[in-house]
Amino acid sequence: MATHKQYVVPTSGKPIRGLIQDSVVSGVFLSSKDCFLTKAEYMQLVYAGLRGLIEEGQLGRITTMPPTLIKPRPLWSGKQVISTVLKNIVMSGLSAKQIKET
Amino acid sequence: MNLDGKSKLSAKEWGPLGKEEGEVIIRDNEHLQGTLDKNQFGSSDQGMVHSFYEIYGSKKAGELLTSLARIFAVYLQEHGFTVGLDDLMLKPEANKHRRQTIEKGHQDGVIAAAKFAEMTNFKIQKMNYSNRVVYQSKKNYDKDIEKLTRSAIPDDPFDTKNVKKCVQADDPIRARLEEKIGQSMEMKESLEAEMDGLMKGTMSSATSKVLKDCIPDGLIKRFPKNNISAMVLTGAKGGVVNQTQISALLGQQELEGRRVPKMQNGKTLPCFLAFDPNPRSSGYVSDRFITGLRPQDFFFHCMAGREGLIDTAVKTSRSGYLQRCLIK
Repeated sequence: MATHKQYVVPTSGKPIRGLIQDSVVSGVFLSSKDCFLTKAEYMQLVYAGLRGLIEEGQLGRITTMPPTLIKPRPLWSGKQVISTVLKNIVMSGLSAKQIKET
Repeated sequence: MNLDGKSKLSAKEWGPLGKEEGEVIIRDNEHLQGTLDKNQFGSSDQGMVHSFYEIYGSKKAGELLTSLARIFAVYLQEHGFTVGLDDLMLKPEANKHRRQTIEKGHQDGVIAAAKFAEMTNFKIQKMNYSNRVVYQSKKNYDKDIEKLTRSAIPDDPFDTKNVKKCVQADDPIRARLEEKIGQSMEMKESLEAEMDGLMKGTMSSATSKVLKDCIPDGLIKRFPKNNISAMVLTGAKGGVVNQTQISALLGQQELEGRRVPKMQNGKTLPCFLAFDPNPRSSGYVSDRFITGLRPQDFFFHCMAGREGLIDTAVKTSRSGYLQRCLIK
């Protein structure tokens, strides 16, 4: 149904699609300042987010980020999960050569 | 994408350590600051996903929305989410404060009714006006609460003489109100409306004081740990009204913008006295869902709820017919 083309209302240009309820709470918890993730957790979330693209062949190699904290152990922040997904989606669909050029 | 936005969730909720969390900053697709919430990924104008849509196009925005939904679902499984009674309860001090405010509010209500009945020299003596007898365990025994409990019932409830005295304390007001309101049929309507306005004004100050003391300062658990508060503050589900009805009080019940109407005999329910000056008899509910409602209060709440249902049913049919007429 090409739902991605139904993101905004034609009259006002304002969005109609959006996340609701449990996703809202989860999003706040994940992106809050006190949210830190181990390597396994970070990778798991990034994979969950990008899996669809990988399976469609839109994405080859995923670009990850270095951890925010190094000591006492490497930890990633929840915000980094969002950043990682944003960056990878922006890069999706490009060939390796094109990515290198950017 | 570079973005500056505001969170729906106020930075204040995080306390002194999270002063900047209300402002979302994204630079070169890196999320640097601020909590993402409904304003960013809900269906709201100028949010993160909306901006992303305008810059990178519909396909990638759709992918982003899908990705976020997947991530949040997985993270919520890991994080866990639960609501319990301790998310709804008030601290003992706040609860005591609440009870005292309600008691004072009821007294003020009766005084306001007396004033309306033009009884200038009325003085409250024995309290028969408000509350339920509350069992106090030895561990949490509180003298001040006991006083309220004591004044609500006579020392010996089986002493009929005493009960009579207790009930009769506000008899002069009732007589005076009946006289005043019942004097003429034409005046009745406007007098009742006037009294309703007066009493609603008096009680709303008590209600707002209780709410100010209870939500969120009176809660046992506060925001990041309190999942009810989390849902309310992030706009996930439920509003402040729901939270206050659960934890603090229901407040004045209204029908067609008025208090609960009186029947021909001047009573609102058969169990109340005619022209009872006690605000409770006219739909002022000082109870809350967590501790339960009394039958009368429950009934009043249902009356107000039923009106809401009828309103929506009537409104849709009326406006639907109007539109049909117009387009024809």
